[in-house]
Amino acid sequence: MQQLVSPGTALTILAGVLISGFYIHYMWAALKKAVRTRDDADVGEDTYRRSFFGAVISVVVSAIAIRVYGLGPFLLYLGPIAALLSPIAVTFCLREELVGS
Amino acid sequence: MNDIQLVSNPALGPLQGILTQVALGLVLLALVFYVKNNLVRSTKDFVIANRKIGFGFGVAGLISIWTWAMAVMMSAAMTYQFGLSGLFWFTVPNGLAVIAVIPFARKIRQQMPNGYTISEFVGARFSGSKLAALVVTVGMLFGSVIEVIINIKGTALVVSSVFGVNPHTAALVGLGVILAYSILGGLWASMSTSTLTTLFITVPSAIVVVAALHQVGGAGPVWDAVSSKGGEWLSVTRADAAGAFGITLALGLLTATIAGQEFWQVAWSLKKKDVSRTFLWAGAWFYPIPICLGILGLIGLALKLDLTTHLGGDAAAVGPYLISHIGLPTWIVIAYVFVILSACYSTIDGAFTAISSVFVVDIIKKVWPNIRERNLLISAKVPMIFAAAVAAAVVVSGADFVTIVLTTYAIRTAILVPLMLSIFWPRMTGAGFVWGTIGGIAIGMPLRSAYGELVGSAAILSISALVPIALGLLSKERFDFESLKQVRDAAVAADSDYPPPAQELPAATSA
Repeated sequence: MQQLVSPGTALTILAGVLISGFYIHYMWAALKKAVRTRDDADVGEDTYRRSFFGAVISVVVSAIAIRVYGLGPFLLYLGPIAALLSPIAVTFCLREELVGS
Repeated sequence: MNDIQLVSNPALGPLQGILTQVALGLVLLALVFYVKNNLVRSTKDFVIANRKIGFGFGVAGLISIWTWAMAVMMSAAMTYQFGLSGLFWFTVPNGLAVIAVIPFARKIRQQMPNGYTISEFVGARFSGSKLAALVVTVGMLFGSVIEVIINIKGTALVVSSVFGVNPHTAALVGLGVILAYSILGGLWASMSTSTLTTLFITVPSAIVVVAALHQVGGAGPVWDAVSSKGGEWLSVTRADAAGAFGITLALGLLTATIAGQEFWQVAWSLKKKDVSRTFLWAGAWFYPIPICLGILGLIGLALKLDLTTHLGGDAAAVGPYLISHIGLPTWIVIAYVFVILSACYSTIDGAFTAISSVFVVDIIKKVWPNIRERNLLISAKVPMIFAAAVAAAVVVSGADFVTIVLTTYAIRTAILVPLMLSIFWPRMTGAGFVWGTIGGIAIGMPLRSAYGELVGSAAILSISALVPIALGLLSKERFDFESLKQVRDAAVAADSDYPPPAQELPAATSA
């Protein structure tokens, strides 16, 4: 009988479910905050100074991530790992939006 | 690898396809009902989310809006055709194109805080030149309609090939679903649903790729099979990948973001403090999506899929074909289609809201400046219906929309450099904008037909840069960018009782 899922797939599903739980929690909380603060004035200014540095890091890391696929078979799993890191990063952003002033 | 049988999954029928499309739509519609009831009270909320989109929704929304249905499939397609070099040239410029918006978005928020559209900016920047604003308006509208058409066509093809749904039915169901929630909530709906679809794109992609690797015997056999084809398949330095599509794609991507209303709209909708870092994080965390899904292209290479026999001549079919023909469980196949549908829905709803903002700000408010709020809000929704109808007509009729694509490409590429100069160079003139754009198209497009995309694009960019620079240097005018701060908030109707906070508008714009 065919296995429903492989151990690797089961692990990925488990990680995905956990990540999704946090993601939806912070998304919903940030949405409710947006409703509560919808009439507040937007008083901040864009003082972010790491754009260029961040751009360089992003491009270099993405290029390296693709390059390392060619170094060995197990490194192919970096792709799915990266795909799970993305919603984790977004969850962080939603949390920032929630707790930020 | 040799014992993998490529057969279609018999459990996948049209009903599952339609149900998958509708199910995603219902989930998003439920979210939009909450958003509409709590956040959308005026045209300004509908068109620009009252400029209250925060960091989290901004990042997630941008990732999803930028992940086209075709991009989900093209990452695997380029890997299948060129190995890791194909994945490299597809992926790296993609994220960079979003990040590259930062200096322009930052500047435009400072210069014109009450803006909505690129054409509005051009109109205000070159107040004597209606032609400049008209060209940009046409380019933006065409560009957004093309986005809708391309994404719904790609999605219909995937749903029809995996589930056997009639492609016209799939397209109409998809458009209907997206229109239903877009028309309710506008940009708030777009950004909040796109936040959810970013989750639906990323997590299932990881699961699908891990399952696919296991199904074909693991990463080892895949890697070994690709490696045995030759070292160039696992190298990122193949020159033919750059020449065949890499450089022209990179340019096209930059044009799509820097000269794309969808991105400028987000720039104006974000809270001021979040503009730069939102675009940086969105571009950076977009990367994992193609990096992960590109592995399907490697699997296609390892299984020796034939472009003609298995993929019908279209490399973009490698992902959908693989997932539905290597014996994966039905729910994994549906998860993959869910990824594509999520990418499609989020891009199309972004395009709908872009069309809405251009229509309201650049057409309706110009023709009827004293329009009442109720009518203004209705007018914000009407173009979405129209755009959906046009896209449906093109897809169902099978009409050739290549001409529209080429026109859009020409206009957007030709306005890219003039637009950049307009934001940063006070000596840029309206005549330079118009003649640079027209000259770029008039000379560049014939060259493109004769000598190919690379030559054509280079010609358009060169002419559209040199002409405005020359005319600007000859002119003694210097534009006062401070005057853009006086541009009134266009989506606030004459009878609106919606009170903007006092800090948001300069005193000169009060009625």
